[in-house]
Amino acid sequence: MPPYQGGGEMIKEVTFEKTTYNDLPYKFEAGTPNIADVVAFKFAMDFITELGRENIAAHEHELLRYATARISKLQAIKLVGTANAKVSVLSFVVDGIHPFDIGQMLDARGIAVRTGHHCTQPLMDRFGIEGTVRASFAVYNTTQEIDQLVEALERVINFMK
Amino acid sequence: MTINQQQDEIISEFSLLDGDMEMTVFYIMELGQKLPLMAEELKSEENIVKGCQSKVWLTSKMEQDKIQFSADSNTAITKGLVSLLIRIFNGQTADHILNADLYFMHKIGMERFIGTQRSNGFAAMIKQMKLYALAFKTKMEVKL
Repeated sequence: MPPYQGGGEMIKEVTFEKTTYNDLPYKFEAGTPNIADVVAFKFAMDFITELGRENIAAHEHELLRYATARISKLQAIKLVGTANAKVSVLSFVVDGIHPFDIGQMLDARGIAVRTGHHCTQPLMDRFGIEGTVRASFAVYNTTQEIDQLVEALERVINFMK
Repeated sequence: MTINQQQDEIISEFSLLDGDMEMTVFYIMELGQKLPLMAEELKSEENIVKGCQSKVWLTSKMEQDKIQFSADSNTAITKGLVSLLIRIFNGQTADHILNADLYFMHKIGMERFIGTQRSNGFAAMIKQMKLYALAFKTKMEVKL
């Protein structure tokens, strides 16, 4: 199989007569390797090790617990997926408002959520919904940010009602 | 009103929102709520605009050389966006629609608040409206 891109370590030898490609996998790895990400990866691992994975899990779990408690109290909101031991994501639908609209309105306030079917169309069909809004909480999120999300959702719901 | 007068009016309305993203999105949805209802039977598979992430139904008819569009969407913001196009194009001739240069989106900074996916969908709506205009124009020329 010939390589579709050239450059960098994918070459072994070039003369006017003939080009010899490097061995696999280099033949198919044209260009400069992603050095910056490899360097950054060390810092990402240091960050995780320093905080401790248990602490990170506990923080995420607490954020999820807090967000679930607050968001489930909002009128017209229905949570989708409420398993006990799930990862720190919160999916929900709002009565009468399309997930895309919610996402766009949250975006206008600088809040990033994912909307749509999340690559699980058969599951959405099973629930009889077009999609959900999904907020994800990670180690660098805070309960204050969840308060802002709740406040923004309240505004959206009030506006649309 | 001409197509450009309509565009200028939209630009001046949006300038009152002072670039506030949230107010702009709310305003677009409000415009969508004012869009005349589309008959349910027109919301058919064949009237769906391809290339939109949200569902958009679009259809048109000719009334005394002028084109009238009607549309609906399952999302409020998209409905507001299509309502802007309807406001600009309704009651215009096929030629005017085909030759229209739409500059209002850029002037109101639309790409900033609707994102790439919706921008593509919006372009698909414009294309569909121009296709309708082309179809009417061709039909009229055949008659002549």
